[in-house]
Amino acid sequence: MKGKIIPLKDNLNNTIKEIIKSLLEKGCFDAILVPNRVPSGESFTYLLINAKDLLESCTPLPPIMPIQGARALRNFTRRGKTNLKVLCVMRPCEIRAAIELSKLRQIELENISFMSIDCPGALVTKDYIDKPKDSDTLYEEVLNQWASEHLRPTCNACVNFSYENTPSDIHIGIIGQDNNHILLFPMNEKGKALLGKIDIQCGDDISPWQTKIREILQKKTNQRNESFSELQSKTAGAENLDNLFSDCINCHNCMRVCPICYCRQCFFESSDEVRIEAENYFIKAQNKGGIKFPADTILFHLGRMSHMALSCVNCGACEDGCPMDVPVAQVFSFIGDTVQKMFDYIPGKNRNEPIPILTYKEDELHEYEDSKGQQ
Amino acid sequence: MKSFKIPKPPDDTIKDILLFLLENKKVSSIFALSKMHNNNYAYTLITNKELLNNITPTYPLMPANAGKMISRLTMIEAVKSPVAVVLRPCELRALFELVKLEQAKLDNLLFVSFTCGGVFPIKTKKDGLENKLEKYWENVKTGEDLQELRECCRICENFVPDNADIILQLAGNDINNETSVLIKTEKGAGFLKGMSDQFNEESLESTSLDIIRKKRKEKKQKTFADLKTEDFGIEGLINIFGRCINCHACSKACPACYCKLCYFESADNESDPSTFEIELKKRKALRIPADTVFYHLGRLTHIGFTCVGCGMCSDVCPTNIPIGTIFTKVSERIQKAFEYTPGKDLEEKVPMAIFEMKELEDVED
Repeated sequence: MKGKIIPLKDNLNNTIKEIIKSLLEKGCFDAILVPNRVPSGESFTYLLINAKDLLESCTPLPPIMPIQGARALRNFTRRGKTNLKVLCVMRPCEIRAAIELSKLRQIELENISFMSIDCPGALVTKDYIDKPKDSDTLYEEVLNQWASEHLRPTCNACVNFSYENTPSDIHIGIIGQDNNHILLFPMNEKGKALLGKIDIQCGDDISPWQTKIREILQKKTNQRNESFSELQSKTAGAENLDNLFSDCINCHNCMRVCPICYCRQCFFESSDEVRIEAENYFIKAQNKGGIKFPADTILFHLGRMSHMALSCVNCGACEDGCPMDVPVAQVFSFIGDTVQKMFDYIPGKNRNEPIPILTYKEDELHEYEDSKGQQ
Repeated sequence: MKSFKIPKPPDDTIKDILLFLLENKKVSSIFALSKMHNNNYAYTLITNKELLNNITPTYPLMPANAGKMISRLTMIEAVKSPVAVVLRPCELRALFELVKLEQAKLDNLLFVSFTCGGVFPIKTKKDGLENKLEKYWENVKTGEDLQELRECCRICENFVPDNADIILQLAGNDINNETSVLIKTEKGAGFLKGMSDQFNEESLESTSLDIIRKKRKEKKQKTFADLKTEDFGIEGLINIFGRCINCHACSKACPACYCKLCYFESADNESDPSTFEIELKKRKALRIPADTVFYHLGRLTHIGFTCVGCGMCSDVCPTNIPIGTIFTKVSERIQKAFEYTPGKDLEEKVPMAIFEMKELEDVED
């Protein structure tokens, strides 16, 4: 595999910005979907931009991910394809989530292209909002270390932070380039053609970068295994689950910020759940001596888990949006990993591979059948 | 009004009252804040008197607005046997508004409340609330401002639960060894019949409450002035709501937000890509997803009349937008314009629900 090594302009974001600008200028795209700082400065949001001069203020790799990119793209293409050729500049997990949503028919990928960037992780949004300037400095360090206690916990344990398993069109490598280069390479024929249009010939050797990726992957895998083995004991049994989710106040933020959670109306917000006879509550209360209000908080999480665990991309948006700091992303990431392995499925990896819940196989999962389950 | 004293702190006093009600079968169950087995706090519906040991009704935390929880319980039918409900004044006011909005029913509910010292933001319990309690109760007595409380609580003047049946005197009182219980209504007197035969005459209002009210009012005026909502304009709105991530937690936690399906979560609010394309042509750049300022203004037009200033919205915002303070300030002006106090009088309709030929002429063209 060959790529193109590009010297850093003044900083990372400006260098990537120049590439995006030339893609727009050369007519490769009608518009770019890319993160921008909000006017008050303490957060970021996705903007769809079609004017080159307005791209000046974009931040292709912001220190936080307050809105998961797949959610933004869903908002744009949920009702059908766009006639504009759009380039989405996103983190790998955002692109994988977008692929999952396209399989769930909530994103239409026609005319959409993706540029992925090696992702060192995202800082916790609340922390950033409290101290934007300090956090910007902190993120510079993160870009050198590729790990930090200030990152979202799922980011530190993320094993899909680069091009592998992320079907974008153009990838930008930033790891191990000593902060004076980035590298650019096409992920497919479309990407090759795009880079050709902006006169980028990919002849440079990228193996040193790949070596660095493997090094970091090893570190992150270790971290992941460590956190999973901790979660193994923390999630086992009803009592542990109860403890894990005990802080939940039933705000459903995790569901709303989750790029995958696909129901048009959540059961737990529907009449079936909200409009229940008072008598029903009393029967439950009498059985146990008392019940908690709001009821069914754990059931909500288990229900949500059964819906989206197969497609969970470990982006950590749920935990980031939780007002109570419930470790919801860590739990879902662990369970998601287990379920995905069971079905030999990596969410977002392959555009053409259907999600296992959308396929029916007569012959599968025999190990969970009664004969063995009786033990 | 009639009152009696119990030589115990408030939570134990409430336990005594509730135990009396349960044991004498005057109520079938209790709704109150409890300390859960995992050291957490949540509202509970209790039928077993043993579990009364866990209740902590005056613990300064509001994990959910109890008015909304009672609305869940009584959304489609009233409870059939009496339930004693212990809740804070703003929660009771929220419940009254929900009754007017036909989302709750009051039949068979007995309300126990107290003059409220406010609550800590929900997240405070993460860092440990226990070591803050001594100072909290000291300030409840004196009415001094406590910076760590919810901002909405620090500026609340409606901390007296006028509509409760039984009221405990907390704010402005020394409650370490003795709690005063006021019987506000006939209904309350009926339920408590037989519990005590030593009644005093006591007024709910007192100079110490007036002093607290005055302090809170001063604090409110300063907080509202500092907000400068008048100068917001569209730019100010963008600056304050720009970091909103459209999670709608404020709407979910709000007891007054009454729509069964929020417009902003409905199919009506989805746009075809062509709409985005046309807008993009005009404006050259579009925020996606949009509807942050619009969402908050929309919500404000819905709940401005009925906002009770509980502060749940600020508490649950993952991006720390001071929604509660902004909404309380704007709502106060809306409520003044219509001479309406939410949660005060069940008979008084929400202004949105009535049509008057002649009104608001001063804001006409």
